[in-house]
Parts: sequence; C-alpha cells; structure tokens
Amino acid sequence: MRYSYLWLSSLLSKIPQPREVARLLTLHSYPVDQLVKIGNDWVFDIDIPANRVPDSAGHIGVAREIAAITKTALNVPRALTKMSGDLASRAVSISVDEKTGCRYIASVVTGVKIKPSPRVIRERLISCGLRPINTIVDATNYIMLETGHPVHAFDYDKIAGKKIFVRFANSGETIEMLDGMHVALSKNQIVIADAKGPLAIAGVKGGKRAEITPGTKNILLETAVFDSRLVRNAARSTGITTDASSRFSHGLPVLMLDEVAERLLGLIQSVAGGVAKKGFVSSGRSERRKMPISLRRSRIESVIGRDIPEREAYDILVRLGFRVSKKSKNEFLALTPPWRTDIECEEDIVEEVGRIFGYDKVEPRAPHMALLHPEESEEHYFSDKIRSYFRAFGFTEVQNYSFVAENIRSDAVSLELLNPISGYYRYLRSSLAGGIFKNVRDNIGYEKSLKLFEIGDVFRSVKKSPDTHLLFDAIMTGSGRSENLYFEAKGTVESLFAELGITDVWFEDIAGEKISWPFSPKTVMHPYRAAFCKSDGTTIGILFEAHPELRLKTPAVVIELSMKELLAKERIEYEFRPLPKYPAVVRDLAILVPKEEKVDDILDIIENAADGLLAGVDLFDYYEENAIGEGQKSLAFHLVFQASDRTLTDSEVNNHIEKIIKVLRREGWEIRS
Amino acid sequence: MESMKALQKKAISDIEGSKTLEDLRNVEIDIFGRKQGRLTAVLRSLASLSAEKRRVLGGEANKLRAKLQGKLEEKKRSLEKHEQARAMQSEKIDVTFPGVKKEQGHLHPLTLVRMESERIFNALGYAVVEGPEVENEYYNFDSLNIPKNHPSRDQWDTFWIKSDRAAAVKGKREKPEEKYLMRTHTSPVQVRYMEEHNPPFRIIVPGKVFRHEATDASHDFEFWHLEGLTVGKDVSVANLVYTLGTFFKKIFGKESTIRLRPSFFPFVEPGFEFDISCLSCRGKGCSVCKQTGWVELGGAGMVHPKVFEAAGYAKGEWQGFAFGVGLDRIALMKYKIPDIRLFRANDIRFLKQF
Repeated sequence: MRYSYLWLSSLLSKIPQPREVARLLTLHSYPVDQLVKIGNDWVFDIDIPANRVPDSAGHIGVAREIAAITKTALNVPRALTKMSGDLASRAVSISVDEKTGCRYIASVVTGVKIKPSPRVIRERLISCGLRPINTIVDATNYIMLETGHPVHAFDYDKIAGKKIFVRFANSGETIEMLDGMHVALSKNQIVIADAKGPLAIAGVKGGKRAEITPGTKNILLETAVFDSRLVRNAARSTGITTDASSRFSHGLPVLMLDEVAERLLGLIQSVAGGVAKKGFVSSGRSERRKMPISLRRSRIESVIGRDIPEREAYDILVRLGFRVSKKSKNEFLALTPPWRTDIECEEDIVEEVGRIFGYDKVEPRAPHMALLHPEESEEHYFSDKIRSYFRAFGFTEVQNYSFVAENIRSDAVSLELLNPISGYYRYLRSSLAGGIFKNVRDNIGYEKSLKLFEIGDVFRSVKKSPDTHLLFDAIMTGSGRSENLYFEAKGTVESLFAELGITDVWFEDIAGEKISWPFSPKTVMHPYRAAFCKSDGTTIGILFEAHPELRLKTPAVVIELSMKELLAKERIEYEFRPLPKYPAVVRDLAILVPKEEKVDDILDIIENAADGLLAGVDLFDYYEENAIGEGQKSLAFHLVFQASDRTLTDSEVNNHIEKIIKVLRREGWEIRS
Repeated sequence: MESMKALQKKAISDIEGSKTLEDLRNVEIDIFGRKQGRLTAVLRSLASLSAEKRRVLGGEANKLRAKLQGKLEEKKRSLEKHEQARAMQSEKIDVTFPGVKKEQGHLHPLTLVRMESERIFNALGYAVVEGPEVENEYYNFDSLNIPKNHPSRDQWDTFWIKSDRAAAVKGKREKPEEKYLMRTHTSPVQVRYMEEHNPPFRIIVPGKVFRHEATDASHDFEFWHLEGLTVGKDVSVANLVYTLGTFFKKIFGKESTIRLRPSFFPFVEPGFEFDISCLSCRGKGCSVCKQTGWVELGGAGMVHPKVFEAAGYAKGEWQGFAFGVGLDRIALMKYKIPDIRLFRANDIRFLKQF
C-alpha cells in the first residue's frame, strides 16, 4: 500500500527523514518495499502483513507506528461536524439482515457542492495513486486512505423508498457497476439495496444507479463493516478486486466505525458544505471491547531471550495505545486498543514489546537443551548414499519438475492438478523415465556418452487417494555397440549391490511378465533387452534399453530402482574372513554351446558339478562366429580352485576338471580346450 | 713378460679410458682373461720361479689383482649409472601432455547445498525428518492456524489436486472433507512430527515445495525448502538468532550477518522475516540488495500456541522456534547463479560445473 510522507508528517509532531522512516518501519513494523519521490512528496510502498491491514491500511495507523517507534506525539485533528434540522432517521431507514454479520452506519447531507477538491486533498490522493474526481468521491477516498476504512457515498435522491437494505442477493439479480459493467449476482453475495434492487455489492464496488454525478445535491454516506469472508468470496467470484474489497476482506475493526463515520461527515462538510441531518442511523452487529490480557514479565524474557526493563515494556505498550495496569508485582494487564484486531494472547503482546524494543538488541544465545538422539529419516540418508555412489560411478544428478504434460504409464491413474500453471505441467509424474528421456534429448547434442540419474517421488492415485513412491532412475547413452552399454549398466547395478551388501540378486527376462507401478511400462522398453532385477522374490528394479521409438538419437540403457525395496534389502555387514593361506590354482575352460543357452544356467551346471574346492568361476571371453558353427557360441571361463588346508596338487585339480567336463559333455556341449 | 709396473699402468689407463660397459668388459678380458689375460700370464709364469722369487712376486701380483678388480668394479658402477641416466633421458615425457581423463559424476547444486546445510544442522544436534509432497488442507493450512477463507492463505498460492472425492493423506488427523494439494511449505511436517514426538527435540525438514506463481529469474513454481524446528522449555528468540547466525556464517562465511524483521505468519508469534547482509556489496548497498544492504532469505518465529494445541501438546508447557529458508535461493547466492530456472533445465554443461 502507498503512503505519503507529507501526509504522515502532518499527523506527527516530529518525523525523521524519509529514508530513516523507511528503515525504522522495516525494522519495527512492516517492510517498506520502495521509497519514491513524487513532486515534493515521498511515497512509501509498504507491504502490510495480513494481520496488520485492519489497523494500518490508513495513514493514521502508520503514523501511530512511527510515533511509537520514535517516541513522538500523534496529532490526529478532530472531526468537526455540524448537524441541524430533522433527524437523519426520518430521512432514511436501515435494515440489516443479521445473517450478513454487518454493521452499517448512515448519515444524510443535503445541499452539497460537487466541485474539484482542495489542492492538499488532490495532491495526497495522487501521491497514493488515486485520481481526484470531485469533492464527494475524493472525500470518501481520502477517508479510506486516512483511516484505512473504505466508505461510500450514494446520491440520496436516487434511493428508492428512502430505505437501505443490507441483504444477500437474490438469485438472478444483476447490477450495473459504476464502470458500466453488468454483474450477475449470486445468493452468497451481500448487496446494499433499496426498494428497487441492488445499489452496490457490499464491500466491493458501488453501482451506477445511485452514483454521485455533477448534478447530485443530497447524499447518503455509508460507513460499514462487512463480513470479511463474504467480501473476499464476492471479490473472487465476481473478479472485481478493489481497494475497498482488499481492506474489508481482512476484517476491519467494528469498534472504530463511529469515529470513521464522524470523520467522513466532518470532511464532507468542510470541502462540500451542506447541512447534515441530526444523528447517525445505525444498524446490525455491535461488538464489545475485548477483555484485557495479562502479561507476565518473565514471559517476555523467556520468549525474547533478553530482559526488557519493566518501565520500557510499559511505555512501549502505552505508546501503541494499550491501556496498561499492574495486576501484581510481575504481571501487567493490557487492554488492547480498539483499532487492533490481531491481538489475542500473551504471545501477541510479547511481540509488540519485542518489536518496538528492537530485535537488533537481542544478543544471540546458544540454546540449552538435553542432547537426546532424535529419530531420523532412514530413507533420506539412504538416498544420499545412493547419490554418492552414482556420482562415484560417473553419473550426474538431474532434478526434473514433479509436474508433466502427460504420463508415460497408462495403467496407473495419474493425479491431476486442478489449477495447473500450463498444459506442460498438468499431471503429477507417475514415473521418472519421461524426465530423463527428455534430459537425454536435450543434452545429446553436447555429449554422446551421457550418464544421468535422478532420485525423486513419483505419484499415482489409488482409490482416489494419492500414493507416492521414492524412485531411482539412471540412464546411460553411448555410441558403441548398444549391448555393451547394457552390460556396462548391469555392471554398475551389480557394483551398487556389492556396495550395499545385497548378494542374492538375479536378473530375469521381462518378456511376457507384467510390470507394475512404480516401474516404467513396457512401452518404453526394447522388448528383448529388458530385465527384472530381483532379490528374495521381490523386484528391486528393472534394467532396460530404451525403445527405438522413443527417438533418443542414441542407444540408451535405463536403470530403475525402488528406493524402498533397495533399502529393505540393504545389509552391509563387514566381518573379517581369514585370508587364504594356500595358493589358488586357475584353469581355463572353453565350451561351445547353442546360442540360446543362458550364461547363468551354464554357471549353475559348472558349480553343481564341482565340489567345495571350486572357489569361483568367471566368464572371461565370449564370441559368436559362423566359423564355430551356425547358432553356436563360445564361452571361456576361469575356474579357480582353492583349499583352505593345503596346496592343491595338479592331479587333484585335473580330477575335478575332468568331472566338470564330463557333466558338460553330457549336456551335449563341446569342450574346446 | 712385461713388468708388473708396466702392466699396472696400462691396465689402469685402459680401465679409466673405457667409455662403455662393453669397452670395460674387453679390458677385463685383456687383463683377467683365462687364456690371454695379461695378469693371468703373469700369475701363470710364477710357477716357474724359485720359491723365494715366487713368494715376492706372487705377493705383488695378488695385490695388483685385487687393486685392478677394485678399479674395474668402481668403473663398472660408474658406467652403469651413466647408462641408466642416459636411458632415463631417452624416456623423458612432456609433462604438459593432458592427463588420462577419469570420468567424474556430479551432484546437483541443490543437493550440494542441501547436504551442506544438513551437515551443519547435524553438528548442532538436529535430526533430518521428511514429510509428503502431496499434503492435505489440514496439515498444510488449518493445523498451522491458517483458517479456510482467511486472507492470510493468500500468502501461499496453492496447486490443488483434482479430485471428485476429497480425502485425507495418512496422518493422525484424518479429515474426510480435506482437499489434497501440493504442499506450499515444509511447515506441515511440524505438526506431523509433534503429533508423534514429545519435546525437547531439534529437527530440520528439507523438501520440495510448490507455489502457483509465475516464473522468472528468481521465482519457480517448484523449489526446495529447509524447515527447522526446535522445541524445549526456554527456547527463545535469542536462540533463534544464534542458530540462524551460526548456520549462515557456515554457509556464506564468517563476515555474513543476519537480522530479524517483524513479519506475520499465522503459525508463529512473534513472527519474523530474516535478511542476510548482502554478499555482493558487503552491506554497502548495491543492485542485488536494492541498495538496502540486506537480502531476504526466509521466515521464522516462535511456534504459535495454536500449533502446539493442534499437535496435542499441553497448553503453556513448551516454547519453540521454527524457520524456513529457500535452498534454491541459498544456492543462487552461494554459486552466483543468475537464474533459478537453470536448476531444473538440467543442461549438462550447467550441472558439470558443480
């Protein structure tokens, strides 16, 4: 909101320079976002927080803060009103529907002069960003900027039946606004109406029918408080947000209403003359003053962490308009000033004392607390461990938005945003793969061998409730033979499992099996290069080459892991095993097998054929060539023999090899060495 | 037969005159060779001499042999050293030739800042706690003293989840009428945690948050928050000042200072916003800090009694402070990144800088 320095000065016996005022308000009250010189005035743009709008949306409120901070006197000139003749209640009657929760005060002035306002008023309005119009309209705006309280003037002669109704709109009712716009009203909006129909949308904007025109002679002045929620909803549903609606929607202090009505009438008479009918006509909700709140001195020290002298705390509250009395030796009673609606409990009063005293005077102090070891989020630390492994494996971390234009899964029900920022970010992602595919497309021009990963939540809707899963996706691209890439990725996963102490892992063709959420759907996978990664009967992850239809411009292999399953399987236990005392003997064995035989099955056969002396088997060479026979492939293994109690002899090892060879021949396979 | 003196003279001059190990080997053969070695000849001739002469000459000859062998060894070592030096010289490399590249991965800058923040708070005794990114209205707003239809809700522009049946996210307070939303801050975890735990405790909550805002160089609709919550008996604003001050000195360096300004968040009372002294101008005033010398970093305050009430704590029993800071903003300042949108553009050339 905008505030004029000259206007504020007129309300204070003394005021610091504009920059200093801005600094003080920022440190003690609310932030001054901008300070601009306009003509010979300075304008503050102040970001009034929601709880302070009721008391600080006008110059008097801000001047009051400056007075409290700088210990100067606030001088608000008294309103001078002259009333004569008939009672106002004879000229108009007010009927307020109780359910609107509104308080309404009206006064009637006859014989006003519609002309340009005095220079001071026009200049102040301009400083605050409003356009001067005429004495009546300007006076209502001026009162709003002065007190923070929006008020309204109607042309009295255009009010049908001389009766004002404050009521809910009827369905089907419409109103023509001041700017000529027609608005259809709905039943939960409050209107100010006469016998003919709505004259204004309460708290939002006036209508055309009883508007002040150059020909206006007699006026009805409205000072009211409307239900903040109803005004807020009306402004939202009609799309009309005004200076008035934004103030009313914060809940204005009913207790200040009489004073505002008085100031409005006083100003109208001083700029536009006229004769005010006797008295104000008021109706609707009334409000009692709140009970005093007790404030313990010990509480100030305990919450702020600094002792504030009693005298100083007392003075601060008095300067802010509290009525303070002593309840006991260490306790005050503070009666909240009528303009403050935000003070409800002891903590609120502690804040008042603390902020005016100055938080800059609070010395930092280390907390004294019991050193209890708190429970921690295991998944969180585990995720970071995985991050550091993959970084060491040469992968770079990405972070994609949680929102996507569409999801690649059709079987999981996507969560959709009610109010997306654009069509590109309509759904909550149900998979990470879409994001990393995009990252590859975006970056492949810069680098051929990308290694990227992301850890993040994916979402779906289950029985209309959200379900989330923390997922890991990594992608590798490369220009060489893509099956090498696949096995490089597989080696990476295996290294990870080794690091995590997960030993019982196997890979299994996905082929005809079903893949369920949170893993990627088959549609993004090369059908013959996709595997489940399983342990203990559960799927921990999947490993697949991206389907050529994705058009990534490069072969790409994806590692996708469920963080939840991975964490459940993690069992790092370091335990010493005695180092071998006797040397190992290594023999190589090459065999020719049909192409469709799986390495895992061959290893099983070798391991089953050997007894405890076979310490390990490694595949070290592999090729397929027509020279070795159609549909055949050659596999060469290192067989490692070792005993824990002796050095093995050649003949012992030879016997073992013979045994293994015999079994392999029984399978119909040719031994090549 | 040449005299012993002449033999010694020639032998020493030959040994010393050898330029290579091969020269030296030829000299050795010339002296000690079994067939034609000159010293061998001398020794062999001794047999024909008288016992007296043999004793005298034999002694001299053996001394000469020892001396010449010593000389030979010495020369051999020196030549070997020389040849090794020459060999090494031929192996000279260009040390400016580029090293063999080790493929190195990179963590996202937001992860780096988050990890560093967590490390600092861990050292101060804080535990890391998490909460759901999809929240319900109760935990995101109501339990934090932000009622429905209250203008204070306008501080948080919210992404709502489309749903024909409103339902609750798992938690103690299941309210069937609640609507789902993307959490607008990490503060819901305050109430979720307090429902399950009793003070005293210190926790931080890092997490993604979402705001329905137009994006520009300093705003995104998704970003990272780091929430802190300390609850105990006499926890005060002075403790908050210490904790935030310590954190930012570790993150931005010893010379950085913070200040608190009064502000309003319904779940704290008193409430603050906190600024850090501008890193670009060291508080003198520049375009980064809009000439104020301070840059806004987050919100904080003393936990509101209504929040303790929502969590089920006895009235007046506990005091605590909470704060929230944007990790994206810390990363922008720390790494001097000009545009927040770079974080989620995932350009490999950007990511590899960290």
